[in-house]
Amino acid sequence: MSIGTYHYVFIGAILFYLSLLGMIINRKSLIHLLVCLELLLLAVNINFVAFSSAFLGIRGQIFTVFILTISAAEIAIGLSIIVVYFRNRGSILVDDATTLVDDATTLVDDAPKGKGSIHDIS
Amino acid sequence: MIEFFNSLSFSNCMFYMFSGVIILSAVAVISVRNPVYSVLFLIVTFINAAGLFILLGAEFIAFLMVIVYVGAVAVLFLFVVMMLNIRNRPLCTINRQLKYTAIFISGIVGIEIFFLTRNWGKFSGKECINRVVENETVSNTEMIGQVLYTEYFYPFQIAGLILFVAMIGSIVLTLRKRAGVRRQVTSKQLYRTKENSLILTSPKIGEGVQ
Amino acid sequence: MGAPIFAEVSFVIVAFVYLFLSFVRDQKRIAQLLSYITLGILVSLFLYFIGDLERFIGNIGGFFNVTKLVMSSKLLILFVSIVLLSLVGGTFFWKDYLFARAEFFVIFLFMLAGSFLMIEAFDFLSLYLAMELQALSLYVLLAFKKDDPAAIEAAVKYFVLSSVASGVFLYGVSFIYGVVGDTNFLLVYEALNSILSVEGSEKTIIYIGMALVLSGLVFKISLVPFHMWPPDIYQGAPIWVVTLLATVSKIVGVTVIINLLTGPFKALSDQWELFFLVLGLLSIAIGSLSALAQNNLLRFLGFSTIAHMGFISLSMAGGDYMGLEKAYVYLIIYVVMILGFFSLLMEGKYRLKYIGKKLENLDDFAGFSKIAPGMSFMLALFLFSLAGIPPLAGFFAKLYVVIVLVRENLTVYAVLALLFSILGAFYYLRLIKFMYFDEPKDKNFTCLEFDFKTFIFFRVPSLLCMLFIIFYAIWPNRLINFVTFIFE
Repeated sequence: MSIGTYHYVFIGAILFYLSLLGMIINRKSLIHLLVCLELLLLAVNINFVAFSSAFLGIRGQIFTVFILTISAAEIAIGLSIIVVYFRNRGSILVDDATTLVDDATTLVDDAPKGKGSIHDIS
Repeated sequence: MIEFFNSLSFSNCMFYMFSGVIILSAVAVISVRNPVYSVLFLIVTFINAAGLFILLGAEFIAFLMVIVYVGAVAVLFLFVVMMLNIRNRPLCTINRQLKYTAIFISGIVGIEIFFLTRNWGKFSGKECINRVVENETVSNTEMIGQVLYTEYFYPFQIAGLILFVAMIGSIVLTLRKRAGVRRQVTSKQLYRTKENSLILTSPKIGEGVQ
Repeated sequence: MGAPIFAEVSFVIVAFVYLFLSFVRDQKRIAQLLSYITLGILVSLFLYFIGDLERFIGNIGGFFNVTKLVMSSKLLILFVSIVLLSLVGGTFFWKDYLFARAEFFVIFLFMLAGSFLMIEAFDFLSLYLAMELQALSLYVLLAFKKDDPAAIEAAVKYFVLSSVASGVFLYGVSFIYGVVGDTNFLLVYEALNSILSVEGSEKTIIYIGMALVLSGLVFKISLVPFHMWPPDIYQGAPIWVVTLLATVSKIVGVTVIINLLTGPFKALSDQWELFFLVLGLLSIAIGSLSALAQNNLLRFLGFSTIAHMGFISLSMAGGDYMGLEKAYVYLIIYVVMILGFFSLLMEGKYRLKYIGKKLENLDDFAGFSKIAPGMSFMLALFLFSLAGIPPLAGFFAKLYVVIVLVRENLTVYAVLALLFSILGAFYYLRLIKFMYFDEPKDKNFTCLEFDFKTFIFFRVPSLLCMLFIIFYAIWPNRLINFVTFIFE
């Protein structure tokens, strides 16, 4: 049983799944959300490089180079938004992010207002 | 089973080792409560992913992974985590709605993995091999270098613009003028002349300068 | 050479020049000056483009492809941004110096360049890069009001959701790359065509890839599974940025999706028709029903956006060029309506803030017709048009979608969509009831006076939009013929 593209794509799919799951269970901490975003992009990168290797082509790797660049830029912006958020609130827990809450949430959900509704960051 | 162990060449062993560590540390990344540990496990994941890329024959990407991610992004993360003095994340409480979302997403990914398992080989028809030992006249880095600045000129420029926007954006967002901080104002310094800053007096004894 | 991306290059160069002006001490005056200069540049570009659409058609390095559709979307974006800059110029007269910095114009021009590059992208790589250029600029604009917790929270929410969407988009692109071996739209189209024509070949991976790519893009126009963001962001962000998100972002999203559907995914039309049918119907249902329970005006507008985008999606489900054309017509009419509505709303907010009142919740509009009769009349017209009351343009937009659906034998869906939109219409009418049939909260109100500068910067754009939605019924064929022409 030799290692083929399929194995790499499988690893990518598992990472993709783990990152989405991580975003759901860590939805209360912004830093954790950003870390999960990086895992998501890693899954994409593994896919691209594996396919590029399968096609003996270079395009997938070029795509990966660009994804690396852009994700670094995105993280820089994201962290600076988090810093501003922290200065405003003294905390980066999304739990506290209840300024923008649906009036209807309390009607639909029996959970306390704002907490754990799907309208939070998830 | 025996067939499996017979197939364990060096590169196959490495693949299983790297991917095993990747999955374990990814699980750790999403389940650890302390953000510092989370970022450190992310670094472990990236280093092992770099190992996978070397197995695939993409050395340049592997180096970039280590240099850009471990060297820059992870350090940025740690820097912000330390600077903001962030508490551990609270234990997750999963309510009904969230549970359904999780089941939905895992269902989608599960179906996807299932189809990949069943059909990939039949579909693709291209067998990929680990290309560590393959002899090539042009190295991977050289191949990338040949097209990145020629064929990919426009995307390369746009990537530059994106980095530029990220730079300006982070400065605009995080720069603040604090009250009470004494700064050097060059123009004021340059406007000072001998006339408006120096007084020559000859004070009398016992009176001092008025 | 270079003519197709003339506008983007000039935006970038102008932005670099502006950057040097951020050293100047008196940022308020500089920003006011820059808003006029930028307005002038955009107006001259608009006139330059409208002269001859076909002059700029061409392909750049296989990464960008300018077609007539792209040119008309560019014109639409230019028109919207001219109005937006006029609003920025107006904010200075009301002592709102939120955008009084040269960096704001730099970021705004980069956002425009990103939008333009995104609609003319002809390769998944350039599409991704342009998307990120636009998205990063939008994050910064959303977070521009640094000391307002609500605005920052909106920025954080948009950042997280949008970057997840772009990650999902990339994951889909990786599968398409895995099938085709290239990311150029033309090559993807040819490869998918040949793969699908082979009997018994495995298509699941292609379907998964396409669904993921479209999901990432559908986030931009906020169809249902990705509809969480507009209410929150509309409520929290500065209203000018909300106008930007409600217009430019939607134009770009719909144009890119049309590009993809007529380009690389043309061979998969059976699949995406179903995709857009389900998403569109769900969006109309959820958007209309959730809007009923809202009390905040902007939050309500966020839900109504979801419903309107649902109509566009249903029209795309009509499949062939006819459906896409009508989706584009709907987009144009929607953008004009919402632009006029928002510029009136901004004017109202500033004027009432000046006399110490606010305009946030629906009951703040009580008796608004007595305080500002002209403004209320225009607001009511826009609301009627958004609800789809007959002689106005919004009615025709909905009518075309219904015709497309009936022609495709999807009458049940058309009836359902209409039922839900009638439910939603109740809500628009409720706001009109507040304005015209309720008494003002404080009895000794004063009527707003005529103010020349406000008239020029806020009212003229909304008057233009109002003329469009009123007189559309007289010459409906002009727009239809134009759209048919650009879809050739």
